[in-house]
Amino acid sequence: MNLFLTGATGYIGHQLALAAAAQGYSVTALVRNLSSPHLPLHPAIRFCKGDITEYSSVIKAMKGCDCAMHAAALTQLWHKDSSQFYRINVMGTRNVLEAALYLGIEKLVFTSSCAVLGPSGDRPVTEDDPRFTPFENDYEVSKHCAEELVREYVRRGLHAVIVSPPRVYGPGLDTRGNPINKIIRNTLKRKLAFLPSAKDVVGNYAFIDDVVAGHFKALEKGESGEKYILGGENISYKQFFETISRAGNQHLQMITVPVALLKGWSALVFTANYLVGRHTHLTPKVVERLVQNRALSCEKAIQEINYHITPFIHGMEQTIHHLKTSSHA
Amino acid sequence: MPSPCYTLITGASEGLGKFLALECASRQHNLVLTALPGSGLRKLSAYIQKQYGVNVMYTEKDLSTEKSCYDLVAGIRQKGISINCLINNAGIGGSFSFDEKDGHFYNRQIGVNVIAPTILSRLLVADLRRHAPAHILNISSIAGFFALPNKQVYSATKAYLFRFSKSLRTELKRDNIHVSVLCPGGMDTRWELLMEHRMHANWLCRQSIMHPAKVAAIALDSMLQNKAVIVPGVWNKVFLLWNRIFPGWLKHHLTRYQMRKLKPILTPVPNEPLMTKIAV
Repeated sequence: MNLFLTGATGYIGHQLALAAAAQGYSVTALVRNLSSPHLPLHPAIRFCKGDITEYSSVIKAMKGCDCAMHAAALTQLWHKDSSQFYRINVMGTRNVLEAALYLGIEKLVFTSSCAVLGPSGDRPVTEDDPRFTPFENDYEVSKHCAEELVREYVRRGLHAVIVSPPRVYGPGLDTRGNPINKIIRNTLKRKLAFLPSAKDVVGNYAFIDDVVAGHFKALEKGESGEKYILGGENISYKQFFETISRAGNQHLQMITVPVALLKGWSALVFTANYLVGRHTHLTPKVVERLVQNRALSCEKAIQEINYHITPFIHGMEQTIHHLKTSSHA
Repeated sequence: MPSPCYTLITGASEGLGKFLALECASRQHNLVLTALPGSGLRKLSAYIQKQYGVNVMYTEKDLSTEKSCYDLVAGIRQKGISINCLINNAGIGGSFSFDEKDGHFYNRQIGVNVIAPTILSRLLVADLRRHAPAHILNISSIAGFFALPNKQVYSATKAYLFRFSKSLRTELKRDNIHVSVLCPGGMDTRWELLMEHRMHANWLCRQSIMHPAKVAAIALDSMLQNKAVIVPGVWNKVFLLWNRIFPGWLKHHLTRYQMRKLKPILTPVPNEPLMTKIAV
């Protein structure tokens, strides 16, 4: 089975490539830079130079493949040129879908994001819940638009499934798409946890291995046009840091930081960097987003595609083990 | 305990119609929903029924023909459902030069935007009278107040709905049927619009764009207070005020400028031109 893959130099895509190769797929990975340090190296993975924003390079690389996974995206929440989100995440997706339809790709999995779903109210959010609040940034809008494009191509006859991971953690590349590993590492190094004053706010954290396995289950069993949340446990910030402490066998000094202070600080850092022409992605708006409840329900994925959730404590133990043994630690 | 009467909403599968349906359901209205075939109405109906515990009926109809309006009401009668609230939301929008579309398209557009609300109101007026106090809510647009290039037929159909609603309101008042008209501005509904708004709309335009959930909540609140004309959002109110006080030549230049600024530059799907550019 030949698998076409985008985003192989990103956090999730990298693991997808290695997992596919291990499962016996022949992988064709579309990459922008053939000498990227993030290439997933394996005999069964072939690299094609190209860019999802160039249709010709996509169709050339996809030729001869049976199925496809589209995991490439601009994943940060802020970019100085907001049109990049649409150029990469929407037009890029359009190119992949168009090529897949044209070449008669059997099945495609599109990696979206739970950012498209809104904050949760009195119960965890499901795939069917309409979003009652406006989108908060161009990343969310671009991913929503890309999902709608997928549905449009499904109506045109493509077999495509949408998967939506939330915040993902676990062994893997140390890239921008993976901020949680960085938080874990810094917390353990400093023996210090900065807990937002909104410490009972709930988020959903998915273990990378679950997310990767979920992609293959969606490819195999997913119904075309459907969306599956590939999440983990719903936990509060307090539980998050307590679990790090427990899994890392390390006592942590918990310091509660008022959300207002966090916002002010992010504004300061953002402005200071902006003035010298650098860009940080933690804007006050992003901070605001981080203190909203975002509980998710993975029931649909569990029921329909046999999705499995690794308990947070076990995932965290493996992650910390990885961080301690890898060169970055 | 939900009341035994139903609210009929046309064009309920997406955009404002979907949020009007959700808003009504959250206020424990039973619903009859209608939208085009293949627009996901079955899934939405099941979702609303489960989440809000109200009765939801749905029927897929293309309201551009007179016959489908009669069929819709006949179907409702057959099931013995009584309607005490009619929300005429279905509409065909978009921006195109007049010769871009043919007569058939404009016939359909006038059919859905003008003929269907008129016929449905006529067919259901006896029902509404019987179950008074009752409501009719027609979805017009602030586009109905302006002379808009590339929205010729659209803005005219919306102006019709505005005048129709106000006239019918005075006539049906004695029967305790309250006719309201909603005049929203731009909304983030279809994904193409959303992207368009984020990428190309100017500051003023972006300020006035509203989320359909918010518009739906305002619409329902005002309708239940028997308001005649509902203009959601501060900016839309400001636009209408300007419309009243600015001289004709200035309005002409302003709207032309706004519409030119909003000319789309995007072609996201090959072989498929964008249908809707910006919904004013």
